[in-house]
Amino acid sequence: MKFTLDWLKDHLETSKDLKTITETLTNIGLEIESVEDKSEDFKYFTVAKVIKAEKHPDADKLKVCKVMTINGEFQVVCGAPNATEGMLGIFAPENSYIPGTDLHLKKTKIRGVESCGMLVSEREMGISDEHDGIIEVKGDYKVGDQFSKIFKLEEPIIEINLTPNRSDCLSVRGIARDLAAAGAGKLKELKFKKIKDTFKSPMKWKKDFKDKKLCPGVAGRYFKNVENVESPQWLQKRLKAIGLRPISALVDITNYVTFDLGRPLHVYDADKVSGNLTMRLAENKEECMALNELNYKCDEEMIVISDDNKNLHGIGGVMGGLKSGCSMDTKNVFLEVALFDPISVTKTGRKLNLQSDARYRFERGIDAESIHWGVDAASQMISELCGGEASEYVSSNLDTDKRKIISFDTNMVKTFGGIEVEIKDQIKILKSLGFIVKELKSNLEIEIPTFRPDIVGEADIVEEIIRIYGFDKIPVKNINYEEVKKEILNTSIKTFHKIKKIIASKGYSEVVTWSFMDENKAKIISNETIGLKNPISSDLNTMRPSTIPNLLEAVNQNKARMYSSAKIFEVGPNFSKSLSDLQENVATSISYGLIDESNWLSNKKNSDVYSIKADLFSVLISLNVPTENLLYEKINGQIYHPGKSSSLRLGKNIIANFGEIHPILLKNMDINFKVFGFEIFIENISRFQENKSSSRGAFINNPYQMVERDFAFLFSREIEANEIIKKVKKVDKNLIQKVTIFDVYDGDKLPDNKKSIAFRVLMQPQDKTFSDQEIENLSKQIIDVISKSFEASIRN
Amino acid sequence: MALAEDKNNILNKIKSAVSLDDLEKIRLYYLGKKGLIPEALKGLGSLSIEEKKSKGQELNIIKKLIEETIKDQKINIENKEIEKKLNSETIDVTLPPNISEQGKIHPISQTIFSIIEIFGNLNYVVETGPDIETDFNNFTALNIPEHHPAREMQDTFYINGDESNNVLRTHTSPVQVRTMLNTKPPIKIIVPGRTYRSDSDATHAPMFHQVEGLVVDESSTMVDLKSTLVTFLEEFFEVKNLQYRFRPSYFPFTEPSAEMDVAYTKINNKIKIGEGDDWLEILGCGMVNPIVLENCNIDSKKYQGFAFGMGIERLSMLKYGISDLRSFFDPNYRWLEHYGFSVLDSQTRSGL
Repeated sequence: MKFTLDWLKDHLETSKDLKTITETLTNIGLEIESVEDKSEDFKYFTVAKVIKAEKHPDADKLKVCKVMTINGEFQVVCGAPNATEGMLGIFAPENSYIPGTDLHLKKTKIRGVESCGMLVSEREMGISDEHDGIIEVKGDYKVGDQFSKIFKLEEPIIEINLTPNRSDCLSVRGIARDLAAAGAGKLKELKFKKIKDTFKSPMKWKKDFKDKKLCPGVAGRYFKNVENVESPQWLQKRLKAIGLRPISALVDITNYVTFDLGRPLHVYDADKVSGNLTMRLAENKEECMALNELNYKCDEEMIVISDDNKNLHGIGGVMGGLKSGCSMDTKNVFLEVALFDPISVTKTGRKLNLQSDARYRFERGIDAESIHWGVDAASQMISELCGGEASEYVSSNLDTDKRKIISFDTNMVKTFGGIEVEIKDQIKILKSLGFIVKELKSNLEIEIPTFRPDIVGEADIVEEIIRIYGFDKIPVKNINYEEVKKEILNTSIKTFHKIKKIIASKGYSEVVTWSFMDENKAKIISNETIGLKNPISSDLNTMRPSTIPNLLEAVNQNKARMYSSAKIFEVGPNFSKSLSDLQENVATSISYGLIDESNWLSNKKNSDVYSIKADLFSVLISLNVPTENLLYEKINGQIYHPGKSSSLRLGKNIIANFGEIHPILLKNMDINFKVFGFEIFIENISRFQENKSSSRGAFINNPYQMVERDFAFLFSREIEANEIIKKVKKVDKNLIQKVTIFDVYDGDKLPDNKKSIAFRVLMQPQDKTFSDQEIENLSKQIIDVISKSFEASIRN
Repeated sequence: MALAEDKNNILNKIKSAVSLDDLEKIRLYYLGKKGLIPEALKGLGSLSIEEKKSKGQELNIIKKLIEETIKDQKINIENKEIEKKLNSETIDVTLPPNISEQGKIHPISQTIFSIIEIFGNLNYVVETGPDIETDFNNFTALNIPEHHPAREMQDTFYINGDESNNVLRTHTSPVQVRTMLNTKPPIKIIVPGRTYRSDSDATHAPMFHQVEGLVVDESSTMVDLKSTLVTFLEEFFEVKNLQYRFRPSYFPFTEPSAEMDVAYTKINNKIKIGEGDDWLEILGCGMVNPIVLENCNIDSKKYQGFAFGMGIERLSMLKYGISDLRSFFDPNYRWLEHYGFSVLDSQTRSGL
């Protein structure tokens, strides 16, 4: 909402300066968006007198002038034919900024003669295209007078960022009322001249609705023999200042009243309407050519204005029709001052994708009583600017609501707002905002003015009082911590955040990528995808079923930045129709290229399935997951290489997936090297994050000598190492402390489909040192079990 | 029989031995089976008991002295040999080592950690909720009815082929609704999380993060609201006596509503928060609208409270000097290296 300071002063009697007014506006909730103060831009330009004008010694068309300014005499070289001795002009000093030519003025020499500053033309000042000569100031002005004052450019333009509840402040009047309430001046009384009604209107307003709420009423007047003229300068200037283009008096009046009083109007060229005008719902596909010269197809939910021949003359609350729009030839007009249901206007505007100043106000709520005073306001301006004669006041049936009454407990300012405001001050504030207040024994009975549809309950009244009293007067106190301390994070939120630190500690850097991705890519990996109705772009039109494609996208983006290896991760949601809540939180990491930074010491080893598995297990162990109990399960799908990946399960919960990324997925993502990844399902490991007691069992230092024995077997290739380890451990859970695989070989020297696995068994006696026989027995058992279980043969 | 040689002479001989071989020769000469000392001891047999005793003692003392001196000299020689070897063993210690590098934590996470730490100390509990929300939780319960102009303030992503009108939550406020529907007051929560709006340009991202706060009890007022936020902002930005503006605003879910601005100064293109003549909008807040309480089955005659919400990227940009919102979601490794945080860079009061 934009307005000028002088416009505001039409409604507000005030001696406050601009700064106080703008600060007050922000303080009462009408936040300042911008203040455009041209007088600031023009403050260096002042009236100067040419005291001498002589021909330039080296140029026929130039003059060398002595100029008397408020800051003394300057020599100026000037090319204007009208620069003559004794004239008053506008002087721009050195270093000033010339808006019309976008130049900073510097001292120069023109054909060998020094020139300090300049005398400017209207074009150079950016106020017109006039450039035939310099500005000549006529009238009662003296050296030093401000250019901006003389040309009336001093009016600051204020724009406020209005919250959608304050429809009353979509008018200069409403803003003035709020300022007056806040003590920034006195609200002037609004009086309209009584217009003499000299004849009976030949046209009537009718309405035809089942649901009366849609249009509670419409009123107007018929004006005959008007003269549509160009609006007076003051009106044009105000409209221009707020960004509207002056058209003609009749049109400008409707715009002006919209912004001045928040009352949208429409005037019809009565000679282009057949019979009466009726507000009704449109028939399906009924068409209306609007003032913006676009043809709109209406539907049965939209309010239209129709004449007796079923010609449409407007879309209710949104825009008038072109057919009966006013032109400079218009002689007779019919005025519309209407009320519409905000929801209906909103729906219509949205469906037609049509925005207007009228729609903006109707959507937010219009003063229902304006159906009376709005006609008066418009009539007065039409009569003043366009002459003619006015008919009687005509209106449809009125179905407006009565004013609301709220019973208000004055203690609420303290119990809700936290501050003490005396009852008499509460009443004063409410009255100054236009509320009618009756003081009862224990509470106030408050009648809500019709221009405040946003006020519905006691909390709103508290806000009105504190808003004007001052939010800055709400005191700040020490916050006390008396309550019983609770657990800040539940286990799943704790896991969600803690895992980030753990994964980062393994060398992975965290990224945050969109929750959406390209449907074409999502479809490759899931058939349970969730799409968006209105995506921001076609490559972000589906909720990601996995974070891996987004991380691969990141790999691609960094290729050009000379990164041939990296480890990155993201912790966030993946989405699928099959999930409860449609989503699950997953920590996803990928790794590719050299494990170590290339360095003279590094072993130049690339990431592989076992390096990513090592990182995964290290993370899981840090999160107390009992990794020794994990079960391996094949992953089906298009994310991982089917032979180089696995799911890890505990009970029925999948804890994690890891492996080499599927070559087809990589190809689709335009990546031509191997990438490895893991995913950890946050919810399924959160139970391991419960706070346990930090006290431990007693330390028992077993004094008996441990013994190591190595074994090597030839296995079939499909035998899994994990099974072998489990079997060995099972031989004697007490004595066998640890089984380590120290060699795996499946090269040419072995028969087909065979591999050799060598492992070391650490045996720890529990209550006495091992005898040779005991070690021998245990070894023999291991050999027997492994040979039998896996049809393996021991190697020597 | 006495030793002909002077004791000191012997010791000097030992001390001047320069190799282990020489030392061994000396040892054998004096202490070996046929060495002087054993020989001398043998010769004592012919002496009287008295003499045997005194001479024997004398010889034994010398023997011990020789043994100890040899032992010391042996250590000396060995050390000298090690030292000699060390001189030929220098390496280039300036060669760069192979450091195992840790990854970086994204500034969004770091900001969330720090918010959780501050509000955790104020006794708030962290809650979360799903990104795909019902229309009711995201709008209706929060007093944003269908066709209300406030719905135009946020352009919403809608889920495809879905009759229930599910949306990507436009704010973290639906978690307020979930919490109020599921727990009895007192409630004191913060809700960090992903949020979405159908808006994408230099200063808007279709996905961003918010943190929401909600307190519902029988007595919290705007004084508690304002005090909480001032406390938070002073802790978060690490400034004392923060200059701020607490001014009226409008949100459908709070009444009265307010916004908070913090003062800032720009020095050499760097923003300093806390003092100055310019204002930065930092958060929105207010007393929970009684209509919202009732929508969530909480008796608004008995309970009241406050709520606040702020953008995590904005807080992060201001605290860490990040100028471009879009850069948070562009996985540029160099950017991560520059703005990311070490795992050990913790935000606790003690700094541990």
